[in-house]
Amino acid sequence: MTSQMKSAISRKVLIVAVFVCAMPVAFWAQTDRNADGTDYSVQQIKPPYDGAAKPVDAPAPSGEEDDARKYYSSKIREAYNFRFGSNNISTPGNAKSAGGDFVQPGAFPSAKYCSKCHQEAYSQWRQALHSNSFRTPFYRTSVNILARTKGIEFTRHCDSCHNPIGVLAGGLTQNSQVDRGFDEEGLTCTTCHSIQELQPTVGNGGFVMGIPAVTSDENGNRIPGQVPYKMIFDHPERHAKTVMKTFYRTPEFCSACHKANLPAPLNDYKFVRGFTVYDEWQNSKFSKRNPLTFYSADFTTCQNCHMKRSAPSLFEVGQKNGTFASHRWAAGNTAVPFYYGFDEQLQKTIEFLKSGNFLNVDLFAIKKMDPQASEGNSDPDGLIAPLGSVPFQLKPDDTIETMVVVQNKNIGHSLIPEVRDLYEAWVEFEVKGSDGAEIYHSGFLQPDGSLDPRAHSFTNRPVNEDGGFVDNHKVWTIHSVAYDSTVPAGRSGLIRYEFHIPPGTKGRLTITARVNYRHLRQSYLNNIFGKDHPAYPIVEISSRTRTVNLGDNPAAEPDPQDNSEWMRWNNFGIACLDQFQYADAVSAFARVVKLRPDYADGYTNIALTNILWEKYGSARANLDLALALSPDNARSLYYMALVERRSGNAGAEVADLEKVVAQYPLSSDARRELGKSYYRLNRLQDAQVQFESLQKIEPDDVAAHYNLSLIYARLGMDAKASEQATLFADKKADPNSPTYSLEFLRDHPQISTESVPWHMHSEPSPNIAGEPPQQPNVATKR
Amino acid sequence: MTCVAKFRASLTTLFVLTVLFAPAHAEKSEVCPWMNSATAGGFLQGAVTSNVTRPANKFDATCEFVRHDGKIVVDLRIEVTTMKDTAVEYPSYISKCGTDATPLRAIGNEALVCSLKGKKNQVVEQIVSRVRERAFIVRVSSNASPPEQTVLREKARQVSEQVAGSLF
Repeated sequence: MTSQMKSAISRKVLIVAVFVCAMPVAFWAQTDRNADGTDYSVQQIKPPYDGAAKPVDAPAPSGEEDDARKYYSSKIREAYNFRFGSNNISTPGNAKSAGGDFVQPGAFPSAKYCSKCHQEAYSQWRQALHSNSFRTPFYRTSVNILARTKGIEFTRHCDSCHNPIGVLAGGLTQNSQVDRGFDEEGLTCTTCHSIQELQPTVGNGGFVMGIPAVTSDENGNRIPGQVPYKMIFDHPERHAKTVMKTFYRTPEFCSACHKANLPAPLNDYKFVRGFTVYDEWQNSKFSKRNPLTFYSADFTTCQNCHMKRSAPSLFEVGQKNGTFASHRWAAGNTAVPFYYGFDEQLQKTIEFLKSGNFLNVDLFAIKKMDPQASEGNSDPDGLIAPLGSVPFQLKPDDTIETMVVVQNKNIGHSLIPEVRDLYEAWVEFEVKGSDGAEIYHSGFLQPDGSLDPRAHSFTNRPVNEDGGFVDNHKVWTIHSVAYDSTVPAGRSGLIRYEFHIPPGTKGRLTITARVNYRHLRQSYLNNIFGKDHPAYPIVEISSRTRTVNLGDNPAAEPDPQDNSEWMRWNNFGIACLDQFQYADAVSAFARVVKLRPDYADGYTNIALTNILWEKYGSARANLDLALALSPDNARSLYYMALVERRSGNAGAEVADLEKVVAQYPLSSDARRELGKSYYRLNRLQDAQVQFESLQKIEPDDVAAHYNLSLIYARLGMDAKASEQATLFADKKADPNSPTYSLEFLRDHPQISTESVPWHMHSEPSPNIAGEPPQQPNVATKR
Repeated sequence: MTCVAKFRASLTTLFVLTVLFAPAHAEKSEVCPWMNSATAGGFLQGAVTSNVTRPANKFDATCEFVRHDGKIVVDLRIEVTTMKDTAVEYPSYISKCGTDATPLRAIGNEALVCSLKGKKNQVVEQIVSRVRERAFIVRVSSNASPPEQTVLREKARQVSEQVAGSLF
């Protein structure tokens, strides 16, 4: 044996031996954390995989990476809890990795590594929700309960989005020996920037994670791991192509996690919808996908609002033309920056909430509750509206109903979105006399920091099978939702307050309505920290104040803060419609067309109300007027199709809906209705196309599941029919679920009133009465 | 260097690496409820041995992780105790940090960090914190030279964040 051969053999022995020795620690060794401020020069870059002995100045060959991953996965599989199936590593979540197997946590380069060239992005991200998606007390308190009560394997549902590295690394299993150092980075740079494709938009981590790579070779093959910077500097175009995908800029990308459901493997019950903020966006005016919106707007994505471009203040090679897309994702969460002391993030979040003309608060109308006091008013119902535009009189001892319209004007989703059982948005309504004395106050904070229980909140009330409120965000126990008072995008809520002007009151009254927001509700904060925590920020998102005289109130010039008069009536009409007050809605929309006879949507709004009121003749007449003004108006055509269906004019019905679908191919409503129309005409293949298209828009649509199960069966496609029938059975509403809600509402009369769409906030303020109200709520229901 | 010498050198290197990369299986059957050995090893940057002791109260535990690197010994101790009366008992935990303690944000409900006097050449960083009614103390010590106070303090902070996270 020559010395060269011996030398070669010894090197091979050494390499193999090191590899073998190093592998056992691969899945629990140190990730490249470097929170100590280490300078990341090229020489200090660590190997891309935990414990795998690799040169520090060159990328590892891909074959070696594959072997390392296979070895790692095999070790994880030995002890992994496969409760949900041998290959379901993320169930009850949906996160997937390329190849479907586990990924070493060390495969994800640290954010610090990226920060060398992306300091602005790093700085923003470190303070943002995405980097704190796992570690915060606000999240851990809830997910820990799941781990303790059902088992850590169930937390893969939440962590598919909150800690995907933990899920894909196989760390969420009993007695895991995965190094959890990555927890601190939550959604690090290379989680989002490694996603290679999206699953259908069902959420719960609906992505496919590639093996993280920050550059590629000359053939476009991804080079995994944390490569030397020089490789990036030499070919920045390869870096850009590797870490950026066109779909990252789409709402569908966000939908992977900003949509959630509670599947049967999680709750041992059935599919329950969680939040659907992506679908809310699809249904908003900003998507340009829905012909049925009340208003229109330019196409605007999630990123357009939450990743606005601005000039970076730190070194950032990702900037273009002097601006960089924000990696703060400013939205509503003030709790995390408050807890961590991220003052800049907190400030930006507050600015965001108050900016953008998101809401319009309109003190729209008053009504005197004494019928005699209304005599002389022009409106037969005694409605004095819109306030400011019509003269009226007030006097002491009057009892007044005030109508506040809160318009969700420019939010691309509901007010409030997502986990609305935790967030707290409410209306604070206050009436003060000339001397500043409080006459009425709703939506105040109690001494312990909790919200006035009679306040009007934009919230929901999830209920468990015992009829109890699902506290601590134990979503796996949700069986029903007692009510949901959030305001969908583009719509309006109407909140009514009744107060009495005390005898002897002189001068003026100042009436103020505010929409306040607190992240999170006080009782949840108490659950997290105990009651001895600091007060968390409350942000006034929008407000409106009017001063009214006790005596004559002449009409005044419109306030620039208010919508134009026709829109004020329109919003009032929309709010009445959503409260099933059809007569009031038609009356309001009639005012709209009187003010704007050229406004086709005004007639369509009347027609829409009439359809819901089952007055189809009147609906048709108004749709004719709308279509005369705007012949191809998709919204009018859609509702006309419903009228034609009612009249048995199947041909006209289909023709109208086909026109709508042609204009709005991504309209779930139009696809659904056209599918039904075809089905009735026995045009099964045509119906199949519509419902399959609908499933691409909204994979959880129960009508699609139901109809496809029938269509497939009739077309002899038994397996697919069975699959759809099963999905329908799982996703359709549980007929028993309302009983859980009723039990809850019986036990909580003050909340029970809030569950009724039309309700009045009428009890006197305990501050004025001098004692707490005897009944929690005596609101009138209509 | 001859080929034989190179081969011997390679074997020597192999032996050293084998020892260095020896898996951290030295832990006892009792598992630390606040942090696994892999994570502790990650913070201490090497394989660790661990020891877990539990008081009569089954909810509490003290975990100790030790990494030996030649003469260098790095020690991580995590002690969690449930208080019956936070207002009464927690001040005694605070006092364990002395008067030079610095408030630390975003660890549990509240936290203090301080440097303690260790044995010869030993640097000790300690964090005292609580999550609701559960007090915990994280102590990281090292006899490495030169002293790494800043590094140890950051490690203590990271460990404390993990411990608090598991207690919330």
